[in-house]
Amino acid sequence: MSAQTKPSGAPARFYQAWARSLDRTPFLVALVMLLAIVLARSQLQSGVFTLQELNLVTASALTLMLAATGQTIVLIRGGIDLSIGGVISLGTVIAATRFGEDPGQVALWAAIILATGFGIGALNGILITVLKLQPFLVTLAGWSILTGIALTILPTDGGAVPGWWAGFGYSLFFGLSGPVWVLIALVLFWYWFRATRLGIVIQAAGSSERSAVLSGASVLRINIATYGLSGLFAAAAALYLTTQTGTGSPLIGRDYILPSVAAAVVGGVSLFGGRGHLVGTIIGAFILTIIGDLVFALRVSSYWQPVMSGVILLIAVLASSLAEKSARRQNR
Amino acid sequence: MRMRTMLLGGAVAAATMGAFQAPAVAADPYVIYLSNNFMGNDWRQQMIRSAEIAVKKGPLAGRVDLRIEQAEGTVQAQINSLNNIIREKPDAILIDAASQTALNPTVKRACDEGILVISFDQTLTEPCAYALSVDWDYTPRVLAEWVAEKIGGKGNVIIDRGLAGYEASIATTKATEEVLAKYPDIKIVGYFNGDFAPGPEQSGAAAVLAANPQVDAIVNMAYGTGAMQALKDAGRPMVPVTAFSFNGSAVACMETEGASCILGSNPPYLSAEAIKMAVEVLDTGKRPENRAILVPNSFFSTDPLPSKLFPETVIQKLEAGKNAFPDLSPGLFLPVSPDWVEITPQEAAGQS
Repeated sequence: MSAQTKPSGAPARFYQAWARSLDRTPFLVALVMLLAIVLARSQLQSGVFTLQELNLVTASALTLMLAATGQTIVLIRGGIDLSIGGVISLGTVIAATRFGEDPGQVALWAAIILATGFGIGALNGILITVLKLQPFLVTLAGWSILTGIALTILPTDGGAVPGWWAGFGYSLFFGLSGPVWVLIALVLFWYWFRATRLGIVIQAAGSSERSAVLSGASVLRINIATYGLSGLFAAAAALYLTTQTGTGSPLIGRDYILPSVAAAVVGGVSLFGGRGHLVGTIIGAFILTIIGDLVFALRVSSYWQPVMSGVILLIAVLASSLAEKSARRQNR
Repeated sequence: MRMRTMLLGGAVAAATMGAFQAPAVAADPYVIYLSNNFMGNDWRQQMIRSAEIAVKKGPLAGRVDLRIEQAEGTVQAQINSLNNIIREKPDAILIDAASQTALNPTVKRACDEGILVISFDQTLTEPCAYALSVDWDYTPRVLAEWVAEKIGGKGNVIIDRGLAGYEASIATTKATEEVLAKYPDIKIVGYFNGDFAPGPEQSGAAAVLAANPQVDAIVNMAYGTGAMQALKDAGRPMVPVTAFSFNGSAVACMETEGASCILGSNPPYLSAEAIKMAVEVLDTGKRPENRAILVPNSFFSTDPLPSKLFPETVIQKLEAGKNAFPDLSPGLFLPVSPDWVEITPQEAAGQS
C-alpha cells in the first residue's frame, strides 16, 4: 500500500525505518527466519543449542554454502552460473578416481581440481564477455558439457576417497568440526574480499556496468575473476562433498544449482546484481538445510519440506523487493 | 515441551532395549525407519504402500512402529535425513538409496551406533549394511535368452539402455549383451535410452527403428509399451519384446494383436521383505553372514519358454485377473504380494 501512495504518520515511519534497516542489512529477514526456525525446532527436539548440533548442521549445509558462495559473487555481478553443477560433478569424479591413500597425491589432485574449477569459470567469463553471450546460456551449456565429461570418467556413482579424507566432516579441532572452521574461514574471506578493489569493482559492475567501465575497469577481467571464483568455490564444494559421500557422483552437481541461487536469494542477494552479502547466503543455506530438520522434528510428511522452502523463498523475495524499492526511492 | 519429554522417554527405552539385547518377542514394537529418496514413480509409491500394509496385518501386525522418511531426491537430502534418523537411535533403518556409494559414510555412522541397516532396491556397497534385492544379473539373462530363443537365435535386436549414470542400467545392459553374444546370428543393431519412462522409450525406439529397416526384437528396461507403440506408429509388425512387469505392460501384451512378451520383475514389496528381515534379526539377535540377500524373481510371459541357462526358472503364463489386472492401474507393478502376507492387488494399487 505505502509503496504507491506517499506514506505519512506513524505506520509510514515504521515502514521507512524497516526499509532502511533492510537496506543496510539485506539479510535481516533471513536472520529473523532462521531464528524462528531454530526456536521452533528447539521446542520439539532437545540439544538444538549445542556445539554438537552446530557441527552436524554445518556439516550438512557446507556443500551448499560453498557452491552458493561462488553463486553469490556471480549474482552480485549481475550474472548467474549454472555450470557449477558440472564443476561439482566433475570434481567429485576426479577426486574419487585419482585420490590415492597418499596425502601428497591427494593434495596434488585437490589443487588440480580447484585449478580446473577456476579455469572452467574463467572460460565462462571469457565467452560471456568476448562473444557477448547470456551468462544463463553459456553456463547452461557448460553444465551440460561438464556433466558429459564427468559421465565418461565415471559412468555411475563409484570410486572412493581415502578414509581419512572422508572423516573430515565429523573431525573436531578445538571442539569445532572441520566444516565449522571452513565456515568461519568463508566469513573472514568475505569481509576481506568485499573491501578489495576486485570486490568493489564486481559489485559496482553489478549495479551498472557502464559506470564501472567509465571508471576504468575491464569487463573482461571482472568477468574472468567473477566466474573463475564461482568455479573455484564450486570445485571446493565438490572436494567437501566427497568427504560427505566418500565417492564420485557424475550427476550430483545438479542438486546444488538452483538451491545455490535460492540460498543467496533467501539471504537477500538481488537477482539483478549489485546487492548482496555472503553472510546472508550462509544464513539462507542454513535455513534451507534446517527446514528439513524441522519437518523431521514435527513428524509431518516430509513433503512439507519443499512447501516450506518455497514459502520462505517467497517471503525473502518480498522483503528484498521492498528493500529495493526503498533504495530506489532514496536514490531518486 | 510435552513432545520433548516423550522423545526423551523413547530414547531411554531404545537405549535400555539395546543394552539388554532383549531376546525373543519384545513388548514394544520395534522402531523402524524407512528412508526413501524418491517418490516420483509408481514403483516407489507402491513400495511405500506395501510397507505400510505389511506392518498392519499378518505376522508383523503390531510388531513395528514404521516411520517413513522421504528425502527429496537428492543425495544431500538423504544424508541430512539419515543424520536426523540416527539421532533418534531407532532399532533399524531401511534404505532405498539415492546412490549406491554416496551414503556409505553416513550409513557407517548408523552401524557404529548399533543400528541395524538394511538397504533394498537401490542397495548400498557399505559392508556393514545388508543389501536386499532381486538378482539383477539373473533377470536380464532370462529375458535375453527368451528373446533370443523366441526369434530362433537369428536376427536384429535393439536394446534400451535405461537411464544414463544408473548402476542397474549398466549391469542389466551388460548381462543382456553377454547372453545375446552366445548367439552368433543375433546382431545388436541399435541402442536407445528409455529413461524408465514411456515417452523417452517410445521416441528412443522410434529413432532406432527408423534407422534400421529390419528389427526382430526389442529389449526394454521398463515399460515395453512405448516400444510397442513405436512399432505400431512405424507400421511395422509386432516383434518379441522384453520389459518389466508393469500391469499396463502385461495387459498390453495380452491385448495387442501379435504381441509376444516376457516381463521380468522387481517387486515393490521389497520394502515389506526388508521389514520382515529386520524384525527377524532383531528378534533372534542373529545377523545373517552374507550381506547380499536375494528375493526370488518372478517372470511373466505371453509365451513361456523353458530356460536352458537357468532350468529352475518358472515363467508364469500371463492371465487376466490372476496375475495381471485390466481393471487396475497400468502403473501397478507385478507381482503385488509376497507369500507370507496378503497384499491385495487393490491395496497395492492404492485403490482399496
